[in-house]
Amino acid sequence: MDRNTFLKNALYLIIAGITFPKWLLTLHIPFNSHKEEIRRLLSNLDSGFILNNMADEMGKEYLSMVKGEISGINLFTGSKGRQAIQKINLENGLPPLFMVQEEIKADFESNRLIRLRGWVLSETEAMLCAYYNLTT
Amino acid sequence: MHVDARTLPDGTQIEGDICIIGAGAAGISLAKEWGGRNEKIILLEGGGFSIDAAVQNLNHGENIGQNYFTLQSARLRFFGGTTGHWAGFCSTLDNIDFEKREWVPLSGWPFGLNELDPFYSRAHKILELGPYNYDVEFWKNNEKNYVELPLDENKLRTKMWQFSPPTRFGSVYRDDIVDSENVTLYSYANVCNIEANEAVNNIDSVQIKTHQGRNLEVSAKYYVLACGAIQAARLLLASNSRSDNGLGNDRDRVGRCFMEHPEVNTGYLALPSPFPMHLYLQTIFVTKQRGEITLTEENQKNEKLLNCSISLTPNRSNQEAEAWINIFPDEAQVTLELWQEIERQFEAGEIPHPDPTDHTEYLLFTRSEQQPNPASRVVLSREKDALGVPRANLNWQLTELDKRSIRKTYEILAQEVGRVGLGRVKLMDWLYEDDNEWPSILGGGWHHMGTTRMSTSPNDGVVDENCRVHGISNLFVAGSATFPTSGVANPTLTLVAMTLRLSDHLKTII
Repeated sequence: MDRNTFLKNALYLIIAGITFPKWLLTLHIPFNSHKEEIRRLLSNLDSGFILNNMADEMGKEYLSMVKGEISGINLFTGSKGRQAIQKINLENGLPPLFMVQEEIKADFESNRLIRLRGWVLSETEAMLCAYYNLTT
Repeated sequence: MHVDARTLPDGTQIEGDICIIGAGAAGISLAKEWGGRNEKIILLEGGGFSIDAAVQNLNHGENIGQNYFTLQSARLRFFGGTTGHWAGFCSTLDNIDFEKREWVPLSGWPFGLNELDPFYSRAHKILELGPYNYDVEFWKNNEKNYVELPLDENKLRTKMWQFSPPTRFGSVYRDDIVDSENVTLYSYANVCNIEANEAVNNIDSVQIKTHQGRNLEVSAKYYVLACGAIQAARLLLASNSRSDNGLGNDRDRVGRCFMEHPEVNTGYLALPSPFPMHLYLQTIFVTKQRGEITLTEENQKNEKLLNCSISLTPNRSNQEAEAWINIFPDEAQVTLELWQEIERQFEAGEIPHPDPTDHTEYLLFTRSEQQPNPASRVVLSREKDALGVPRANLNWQLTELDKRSIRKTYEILAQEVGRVGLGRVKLMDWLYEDDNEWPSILGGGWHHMGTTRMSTSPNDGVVDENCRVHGISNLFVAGSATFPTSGVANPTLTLVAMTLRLSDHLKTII
């Protein structure tokens, strides 16, 4: 490997390293360690008694509904996400329960609602379900 | 007095002051009002004191529109009429139901709720109801367990219903009528024709036929059709010897704007923990009053919706598959037997009384106002019944506004339930299918309304504000056939109130 090739490869690796987390989220492959954490968060919501057993299928339905929207963009910070979630930034880990509850209440007050498996849910709840579904 | 018309000689002529056609809730209420007076009242009933299959068969007809109960089971042709299988639900119409609403074509009554207020009060006694008060605050003050759902009162409200025992007019008021000296009940007296004078502005007589082939005739100063919204329209349309279009039908209004209350399972309410629902639950024959959830009048105006009411039933999941109309008996006799069995179960203490504090899942059931729709109508069939009268076919038609109103009302409820953290609402898929398509589970309440609708102008309806047929001086209609709009209240209380109002009017002109 000559000096120029080495420098070129090193530059590619640096660029890939810098962009890796965003690139990972763009493809919607959340960290596995979040799965249990998300499940706990969903259980503790007011709607936990419904989401507990149905989060996965609701998330799947939501993702199928917004397929075009999330392709190539982040689930929570893309144009769809920005409408619903102002404060939640999953790159810093899951937000505290009260913050999610606030967002859900704000969704209901502003009629940012979506019907999944027949249930009328807030967009925040729907996206958390989608996030749960994506977390394998 | 009571006379069995089958025993009268052929060609019998009967004379009186008022001839009432039909002895159901309206006809009996009207006749009772005239008991003990000097005027001679003739009360004509097609059946006897119990269901007779041959008489009931006269109600047969085709449903050529939206799927509906068989017409021979939907109305009972015997003394007491359809109160024979009435469930006893009573509530008043709302203020908004009387208003002209620009988003509801043909809406608006010639008067407001205040006009009916004193008659509602009187009707309460006839229907053996509790205090004439439908203010939820009144009932909350009287029943310590009544707690309203914590929903935004600017959007949703609790509308009260009261429950009649239910009053079976055929048994409760039989003695009043039969023992009356100036009221004569003619049973098995089926009116087949209403004969107008040559100018078609006055009725001369009505013709009666019996299954035995006898023809009778009644002459009176005034005639009141009190035989239900399908039969009243049928008789007016079929009485066409003087006018090809029938009576009161110069402008092709008779039979149009048939309304029911679309009744259908629509969704579920799920709560994380039980809420005290004493105010909202009903056990048939036990509960004396309950609340249902409706949009506020302001919200109906803002959203441009029809009136719609939501009731709660505990623990009934997966009701989508239930085809209400299809599971109900086709024949009136079976319907009556079903009710008698329910009454027997009640008296034997076999009807479970749900604990209002013990449930977290509720079925949400709709009773909605139907938009007055000229295409929804009663028409004459080419087929004739055993007495030679063309049968009535029903073309029940709903509109996009009917469906949108239900959907939006539930969406507002779902939003409110989530906003206050009460729980979550699940809505059935049919709400989101084509607005002109209705699910097989759609039913009605046997509420037949609007076919001789009240209007100030003859261009818009059949009867005037005093229930007199436009253009005919001595022919009146009593009953829910005269309702210009239906609201969400079950019609019996209002139709009895309207009949009492008509009775008072007749007393001023006779």
